[in-house]
Amino acid sequence: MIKRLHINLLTGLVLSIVLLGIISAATTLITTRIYRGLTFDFERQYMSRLVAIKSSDILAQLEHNAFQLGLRIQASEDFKTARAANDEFVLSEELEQQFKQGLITENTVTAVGLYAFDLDFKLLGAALRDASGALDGPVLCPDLASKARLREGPGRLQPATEICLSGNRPYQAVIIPVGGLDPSGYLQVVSDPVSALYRLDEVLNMPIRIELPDDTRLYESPGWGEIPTASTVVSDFIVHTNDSRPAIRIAAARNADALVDKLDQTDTRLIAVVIAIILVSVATVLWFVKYSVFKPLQELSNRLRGGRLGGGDAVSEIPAALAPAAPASFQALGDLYETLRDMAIRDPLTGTYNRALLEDRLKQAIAEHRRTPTITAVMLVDLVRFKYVNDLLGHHTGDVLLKQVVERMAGVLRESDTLGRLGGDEFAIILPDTDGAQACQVAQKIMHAMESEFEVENHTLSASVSIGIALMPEHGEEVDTLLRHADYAMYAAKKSQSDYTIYNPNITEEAAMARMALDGVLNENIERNDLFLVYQPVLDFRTGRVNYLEALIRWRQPDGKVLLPETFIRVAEQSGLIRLLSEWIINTVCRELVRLQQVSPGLRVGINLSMHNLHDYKLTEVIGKALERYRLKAESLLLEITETGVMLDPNQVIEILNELVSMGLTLSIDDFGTGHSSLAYLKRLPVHTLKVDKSFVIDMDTDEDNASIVHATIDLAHNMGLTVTAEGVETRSVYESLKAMGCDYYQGYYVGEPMESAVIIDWLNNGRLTRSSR
Amino acid sequence: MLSVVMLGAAPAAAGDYVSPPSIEGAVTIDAEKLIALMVQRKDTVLIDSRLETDRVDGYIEGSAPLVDTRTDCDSLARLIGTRTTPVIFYCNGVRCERSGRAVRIAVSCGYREVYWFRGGIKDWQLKKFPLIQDDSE
Repeated sequence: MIKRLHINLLTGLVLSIVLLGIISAATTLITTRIYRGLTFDFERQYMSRLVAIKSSDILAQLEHNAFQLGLRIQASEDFKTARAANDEFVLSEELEQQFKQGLITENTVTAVGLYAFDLDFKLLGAALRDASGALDGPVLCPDLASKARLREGPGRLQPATEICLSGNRPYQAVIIPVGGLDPSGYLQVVSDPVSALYRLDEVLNMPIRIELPDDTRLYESPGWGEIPTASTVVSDFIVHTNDSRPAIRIAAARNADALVDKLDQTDTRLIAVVIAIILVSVATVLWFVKYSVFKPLQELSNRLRGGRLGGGDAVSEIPAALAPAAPASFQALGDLYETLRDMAIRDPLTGTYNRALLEDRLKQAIAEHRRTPTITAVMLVDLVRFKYVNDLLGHHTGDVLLKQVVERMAGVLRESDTLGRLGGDEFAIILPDTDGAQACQVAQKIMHAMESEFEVENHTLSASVSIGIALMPEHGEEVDTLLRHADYAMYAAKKSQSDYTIYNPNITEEAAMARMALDGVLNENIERNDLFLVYQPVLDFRTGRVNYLEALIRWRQPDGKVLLPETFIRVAEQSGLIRLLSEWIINTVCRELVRLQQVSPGLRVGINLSMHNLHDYKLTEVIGKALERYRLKAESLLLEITETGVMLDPNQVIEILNELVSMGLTLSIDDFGTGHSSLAYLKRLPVHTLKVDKSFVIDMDTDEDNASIVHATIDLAHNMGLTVTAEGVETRSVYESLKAMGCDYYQGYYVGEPMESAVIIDWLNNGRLTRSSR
Repeated sequence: MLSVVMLGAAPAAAGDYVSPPSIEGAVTIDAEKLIALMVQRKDTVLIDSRLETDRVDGYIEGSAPLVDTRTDCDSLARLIGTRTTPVIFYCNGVRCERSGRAVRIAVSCGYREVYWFRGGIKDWQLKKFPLIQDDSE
């Protein structure tokens, strides 16, 4: 993809320039072709006019010669005598005599016939150069005489001339009046214009050909046949008779080699110029683009990549590859394009899409819905307690965890689904063409994918998620509405401690806001000394003395409010931070127990363990190290575990519990009666004591059912060789009842509330139970 | 500098002259009118006011040579019968002063029917009317 982009970029620029150049070159060539045609046309027209002018000159000269001949004839004494004799034979003889004289007179060589008329154009005598008996034959160009005869007044003194066709031959006839202002007759001189026109090739310096209108060839210049027709311009000129009939066709030919050469030269020069312009343009554009666009972009790209990707291995090689060579500039632009595109739509950390793209996709889905109604699910996924990981283990660990979470989520999604990060530990998934049930299935799959633990930088972390789902169009048809509703659903899921929730209007904003507030506080204060332990004594019915102190965790909020573990332990469990929390508890208990034992030697402390701790092989190690550190005996500690914790994975739990017991610790089952413990398993557990849940104990003096449950439990435990502790003892009557039932230990406000370590030391010193104020 | 002035001035003096369209006491005529007069009024006198050397190249038939410099009442009287006889003057053309000068002299001598063929030989030749050449060769 990147590769293709580069080729397009480079060749696109160059190709478009070259293409433009080719178009202009083609246009130029076509234009030169047109102009070449025009040039030939002009040449032909020019030649035509030249032939016309020169042939007119020759014919005019011919006419002039005839006129001069006419004048000379009438001036001769012999002619005057012959005229006076009024004998046509004498006159004709005299005219013939003119030919004999004329042969040596250059001007008259073209005369072919001479005629003498009287004033009424009656033929008086005739002579033809090449024929005898001219008097009997037809007059050449007789029409001229008829026309001249029609003239009146001074016009009759003027000569008349015409070109005529006689016997298919062209002739030029000139009538000259005989005499001065009072003419006595007329002379007609007929010449051959064709032989006069032979001179044209010399005059024009071109070979010519003279033909009759019927293509009979009359004359051809010696050089005519030698001209190659391909490069010859031939022009025609037609001499017309006075009545507009074509009489002579004169063709002139000109060798156009020089002209063609010149035109070809011009073509070549034009193409050379166009190519030069293209090359210069390409070079200029490339140079310009390189320095004005690519270079800054390359630097920008490098900086972006360097800054953004934190100098990864692949990236750090790029600057070396991008030496100042020109192709690198294109590479840089392509890279920059990719980088910018990625930046625009992708989350840099996880590589998933960002909020902008998610919102865009959602917009598309909404628009699509208006055409084809389908349901689109918007899923908001929030990593529970992710902030703890960031705060305690560092941002890098958090980042790695996020990446792994994304991988697992992506694994369960369809191709058409869109996964993106909205920020922090919050993700959104758009599931097109789905429904509520399918969306829930996807949510379950994600939950399932999160079940196994994450190995992150030598830490084993668990990451659970809360998912809120909103459906389009049911829960909104706008991007903001859908995201907000999915958000409410997600916080509702957290609040109800369910894994996922589909939005419904009952989820109020306040509920979501309250949840958010709690999150914030917990996140910020985990490492401060806001966590502390309180101790509640457990007493022995028989001796009335302290059996052990149960350590309970408390969390003081900035506003002074103290949170009970019920509100935050589950959250800690979900985020995987429960181990750290338990470790803190174990160490704190051990540290404080050292002091407590100074007051009350042999004192034991009970620690509540989360069910998550029971799956942790390191638990024994943590406890062992703490005991060792504070030089405490293992018998000093008592571990309270919940029924449900045990039931989750009994085999593994039993293994750990056995190990703990073998170390010398005492085990107690907490909150007995609330779970669904299998007695069979209970028998397999290495526990020493049961703790009856306070919900049975508190009102056993009034509720007979609870009293009998407590009684049965005590009997059962005793039968199994276990001791029994009752918690929630608040009144004397309950105390008495329990004592009567043979219960071994008791705990509750009746004997003592949970007390901070300083207080419990006083309490122990007094050896008396301090009754609460209530 | 001097030669330039002379080269420019000499042809200008000869070439710039154009005769007036008409002369008081005379009628300006064209070639056709001349022919008509000559044919219709047999007593008409046609006077060629040019130099004799010009006549070698051709003259209008029936014209009598009388150069303007020799024209006066006496020389005219020798050629023209009476004061009422039609008389026509011509020379080489509109750029020629001779016929005009002769016409003025004729008018001043009291001839009543003086005609001026102002176009002269130039106009005659242009219209291809016949000129007479003495067969001298």
